[in-house]
Amino acid sequence: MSRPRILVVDDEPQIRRALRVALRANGYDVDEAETGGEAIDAVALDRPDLVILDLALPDLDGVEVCRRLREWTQLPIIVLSAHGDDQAKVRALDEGADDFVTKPFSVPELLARMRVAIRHASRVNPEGDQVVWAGEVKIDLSRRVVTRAGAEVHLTPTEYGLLRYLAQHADRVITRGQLLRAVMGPGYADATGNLRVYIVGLRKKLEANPSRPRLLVTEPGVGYRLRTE
Amino acid sequence: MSQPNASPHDRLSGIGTPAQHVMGLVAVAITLVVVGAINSAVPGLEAIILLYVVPITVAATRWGSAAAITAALASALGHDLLFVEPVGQLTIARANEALGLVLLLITALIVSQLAEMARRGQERAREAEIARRSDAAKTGLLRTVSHDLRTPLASIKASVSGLRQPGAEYSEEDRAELLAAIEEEADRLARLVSDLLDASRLEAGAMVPDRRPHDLAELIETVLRRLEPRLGNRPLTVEIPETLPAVAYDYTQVDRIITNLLENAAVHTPPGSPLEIRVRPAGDEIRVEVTDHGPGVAPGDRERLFRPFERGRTGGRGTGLGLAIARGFVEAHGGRIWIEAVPRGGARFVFTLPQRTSGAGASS
Repeated sequence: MSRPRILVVDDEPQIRRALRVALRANGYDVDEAETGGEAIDAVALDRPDLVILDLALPDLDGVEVCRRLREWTQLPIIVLSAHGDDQAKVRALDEGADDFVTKPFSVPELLARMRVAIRHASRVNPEGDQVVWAGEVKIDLSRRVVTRAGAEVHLTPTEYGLLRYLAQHADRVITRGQLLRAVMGPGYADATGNLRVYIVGLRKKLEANPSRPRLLVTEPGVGYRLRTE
Repeated sequence: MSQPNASPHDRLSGIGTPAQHVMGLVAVAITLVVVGAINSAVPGLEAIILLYVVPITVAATRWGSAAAITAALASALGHDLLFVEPVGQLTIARANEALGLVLLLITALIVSQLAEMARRGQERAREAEIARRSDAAKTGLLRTVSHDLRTPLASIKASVSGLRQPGAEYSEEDRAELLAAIEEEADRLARLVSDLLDASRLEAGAMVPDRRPHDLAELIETVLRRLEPRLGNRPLTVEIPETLPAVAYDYTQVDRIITNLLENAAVHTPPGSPLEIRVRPAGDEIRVEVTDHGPGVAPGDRERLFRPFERGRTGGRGTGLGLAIARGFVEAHGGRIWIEAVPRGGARFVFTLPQRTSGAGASS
């Protein structure tokens, strides 16, 4: 298998340099782009396996780059955002970015996100696995059965819908808007208050300690993530 | 911009200045001429006294309530003297005329109160606007500073976490490159922090130069030696006359000015392009020029670049503060700094140091 090809898009040369060296040492090939325009060209020409995209670019907004890429490609995109830039982060994710890391980030953290994104993208079956394990919780998507330590857990239809969507996108961040649209329909995209109630309900049924969740974790300001790793 | 001295309504209320009263009187005089003209064309027009509201209003809005009252009194007296029979005599005894005078005074008071209120409202709006703009500027500055601090931090964090990560296979060159990046970025942070400190001290006016006579040639030599690693293999020309008039200046500050100008050139011009430093007396000043042969600075940018966090268009990575600090130090010495175009391409940064003949600090 050839080395996966990563496109790093950041206008700061020192960030590109650090990523180039670290990613190469971890078995990736690295291309670089400085601007949104260059990034779009590079994706079309070099067909990378994943894009690492800084949200603050000199020409195009990173969110706009996400939107344009998603018009014709499903390649995984991980956005780099600055602390306090939650809105741009959420918009990028809503436009189809797969995940984010907040600067300053550590290389192992970024590598973990990259592995998840590449794994999801390379699945033959777009629906993903039939069975997803998160800790001692087993989510059997084909039989619509959820068990915890072997005992069946009873979920309301909405709770199951949320859990199914998170399980189908296991280990990836899902924005509140994405979750609500997927489970309750497009009209409910702003009903984030209700969403909290359902998530709390799910945590009570699935988590060992619902007030310190390990599986259904909150990404502050963004949404939720179901941890399976 | 706010008024440096008394606020406008201090000047427009109270007893008023003589000039304000005179202006009120001039307005009334003009009105009297107009009234006279109309009176001769249409004699006996009662409503003519309405015209006096004009000078009173003008006086109230432009020169304050005291001027308005003067205008009201002058209108009443002038009208009485000039147009009420017997002409030339004060006939205020008649109840009608007395009432007219009182009405004009009341008009003057009300109009000037209204004008005063409007003026205060306007002023509050203007102050709010100034406060809003300065808040916006502060927010912008904070955002730039945090971006500039965060970028080197992010690159240090990525490099260090990469190096510490178990299992990654770094070649010797990779490892050296990451370590070099960490050192460079740490230096960059240190430079930014000291630039920020200097900029904030300059802002607070706390950078009074400690003027003593020094040899400028020696200073330039020291700066060039220190900057050697950053200037690389650039051909350098240094022109300093053998005999320079003695100038007293703050050694550290002038060192920073020249350092910042040279670093600016190093960042914004291609490696290997020549630099020239020239010192010469010009009138009662010493002129120092740093000339580069890079892309030059567009006329529209020449002033802008001396403001904090303004950056040139070459994509170089300075702190965005070097030139602002240089200007701060130059001006603290009573000198000027500016950018000139160089005939065959490039930029010339020029600053002057005035020779202080009367010697504060010239003794050591």
